[in-house]
Amino acid sequence: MATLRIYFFATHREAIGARDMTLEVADGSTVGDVWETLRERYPKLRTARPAAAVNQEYAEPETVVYDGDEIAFIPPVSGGV
Amino acid sequence: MFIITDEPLKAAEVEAAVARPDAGAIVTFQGVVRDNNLGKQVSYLVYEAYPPMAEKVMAQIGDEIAERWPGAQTAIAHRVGKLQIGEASVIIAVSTGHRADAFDACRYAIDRLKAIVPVWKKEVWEGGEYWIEGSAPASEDESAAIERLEKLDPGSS
Repeated sequence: MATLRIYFFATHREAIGARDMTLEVADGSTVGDVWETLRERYPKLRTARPAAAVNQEYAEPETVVYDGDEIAFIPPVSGGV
Repeated sequence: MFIITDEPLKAAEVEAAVARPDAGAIVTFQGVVRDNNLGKQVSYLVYEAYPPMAEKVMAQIGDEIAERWPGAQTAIAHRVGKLQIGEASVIIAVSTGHRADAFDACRYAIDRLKAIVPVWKKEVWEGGEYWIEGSAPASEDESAAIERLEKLDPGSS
């Protein structure tokens, strides 16, 4: 098993009611697998699969996650003005 | 200087971070909170960020600018938390040898920031609120920002 730290922002954070959580996933899981696991657990996460970052770098849905990784799901960004 | 902060932003501090003897131009951009959007009266905005990654991505934009406009130096400060009408949400300063590059590079910086930096804006108005969903960062690369620049000024490359 791989233990991940997961971060949520904006609409996701409000849908889940938490800024972050610890999640255990099977070895070999991908970023996309993690999102599907979360969607099953939190039906309020109705959005399409968002962008994601692993250890603070943008990652692909196929990116494999490892024990201790920091995963962030990134809703469409709207900084600046 | 590439920072996310909940303190009010000061343009002089961002400009000082890029000041140097061989710069002939410093262009500063300030994004400020507007009192209306899409016909609605906005009460205030709330900005949220993923601070460590946002600072890294802003530094990456600084690197892209230095590569495209050699010698250019960039500083970006983005504020988070509750912002009132008229307050600055972001300040970008770019210094270059000559003015044309500083204008172009500063425009590039704000366009890239809006496309890829993990920051989110919630609009709050009387009786409601809404998270603005802008750009999906995965689909954005540098060429999109360059295309926008070239549309403004076909002479610059």
